[in-house]
Amino acid sequence: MACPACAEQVVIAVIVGKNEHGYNLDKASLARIFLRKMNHWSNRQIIQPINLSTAHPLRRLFSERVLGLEPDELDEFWNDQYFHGIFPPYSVVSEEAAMRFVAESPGSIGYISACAVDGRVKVLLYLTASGVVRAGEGSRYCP
Amino acid sequence: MHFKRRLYWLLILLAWIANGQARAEEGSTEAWHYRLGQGLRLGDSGLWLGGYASARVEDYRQSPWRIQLSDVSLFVGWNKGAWRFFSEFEVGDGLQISNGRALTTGAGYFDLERLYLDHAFDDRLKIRGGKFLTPIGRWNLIHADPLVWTTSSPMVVEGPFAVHTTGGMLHGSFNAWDKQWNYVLYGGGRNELDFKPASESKDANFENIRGVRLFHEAPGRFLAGISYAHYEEKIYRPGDKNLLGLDAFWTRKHYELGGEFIYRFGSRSTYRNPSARGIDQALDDAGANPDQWGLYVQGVAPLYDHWFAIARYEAFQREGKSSPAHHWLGGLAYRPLPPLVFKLEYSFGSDNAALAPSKVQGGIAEGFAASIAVLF
Repeated sequence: MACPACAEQVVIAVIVGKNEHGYNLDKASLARIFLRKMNHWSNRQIIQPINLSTAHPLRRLFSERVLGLEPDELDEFWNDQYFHGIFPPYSVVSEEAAMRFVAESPGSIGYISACAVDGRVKVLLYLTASGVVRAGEGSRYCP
Repeated sequence: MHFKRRLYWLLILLAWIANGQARAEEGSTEAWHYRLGQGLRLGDSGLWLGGYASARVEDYRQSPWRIQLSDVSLFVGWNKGAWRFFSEFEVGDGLQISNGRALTTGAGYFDLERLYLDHAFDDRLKIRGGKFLTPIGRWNLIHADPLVWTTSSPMVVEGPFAVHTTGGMLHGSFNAWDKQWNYVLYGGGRNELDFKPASESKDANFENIRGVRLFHEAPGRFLAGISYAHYEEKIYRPGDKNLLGLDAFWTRKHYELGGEFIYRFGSRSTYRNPSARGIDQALDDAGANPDQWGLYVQGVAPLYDHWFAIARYEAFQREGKSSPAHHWLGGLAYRPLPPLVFKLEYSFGSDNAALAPSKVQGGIAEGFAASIAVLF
């Protein structure tokens, strides 16, 4: 994703475990989840967001599209939260690791590129350069 | 001389830590993990350790210059599922050297800053018990030296209400008018967990607080809130008090603009404590306005390569006075990393006679202050 045009073509899939159900998310809720402001699903289960590592190109794209904050702005935000004992989501180094974590951890949510999705997880949303596309049952969005 | 040398080595150590952590990764799913500004997380036990430290130099016109190791705070926490424990232990003013006096630890004190347990039923309802920061405005909730841009604090957060409350709290969020809102309901009695010496404790002046706070935020971008509290002041201006507060904060690409306003009203002070009456006797205008109000507006602008400019205006009218004091502050801050900040500021005031005889103790100070602060 060295070129801006390439980044625009990337579609991000927001994923949960394949047995999770009933989550109705929009982009604002997704931002609150990854900023640890929303911590429970509607069934009261605790949400476990998982990030890709800060060096991963998809991480920056996710932050831009969902959180609207630059990396150093996020650092300052997390400093304030740390003062109250609140930490950023854990991060993993690869999309495969994110998918494995989400598949194996109840209540978890993560993101990977849409083309990397397989049957272990379920897609809640697709994030494109132009906005959010809600995923239909069994849909696959891999441009 | 020894002190200067130690300060020099401390700065080198901080710079080394900062350099080593500059590209450190945030919390991973691995076992023990440390990151500057994010503490040490002990695997999946839920336990974590952290804290912050700050040192300051003050050269105010009203008092001799002094250098202080002003704060060393240790956080010990535990997060597991719906439960969250948080504690903060502080050693304040642990080392001090001032004009004409040798380095001393005599002014140091220990305090339990915070100690509470949270349980979340869901996002709409969480319950907290213990000692926590009184939720009035924004500054009081993030007042740690590494998180604020100035060495000195605004007057409106330095005296009109207790910094901490020991008691209980209900808090959470809800949706209304197509937005998410956050609420806090809280109450406390005496300051059972206040271990500061009376001369250092602002909380000892207040008891029996009941309060509510409502705010809306776009995290990391914007916050607007309203606070109300009812409490009893015990020593300086005794009587039942009501405080209404408004606060707002906005930030974008390292520009910041924020401010708070408080209006305090209630019964006229009865001076049950004769010594307290003596302190203020010379300043009070008999029969004057029993209310108190204050505000501050602060702006921050990025300059170049982690340098920032800060400007703040304050006005504060004490109970019993007929006009406010005004205070201006200009400063610079160098923040090479988010958890580490160097600050330098100059402040001056007008109509300061409207405040206490010791203007520093009254919350207003004129002169230079500098500090270094780090979250670890």
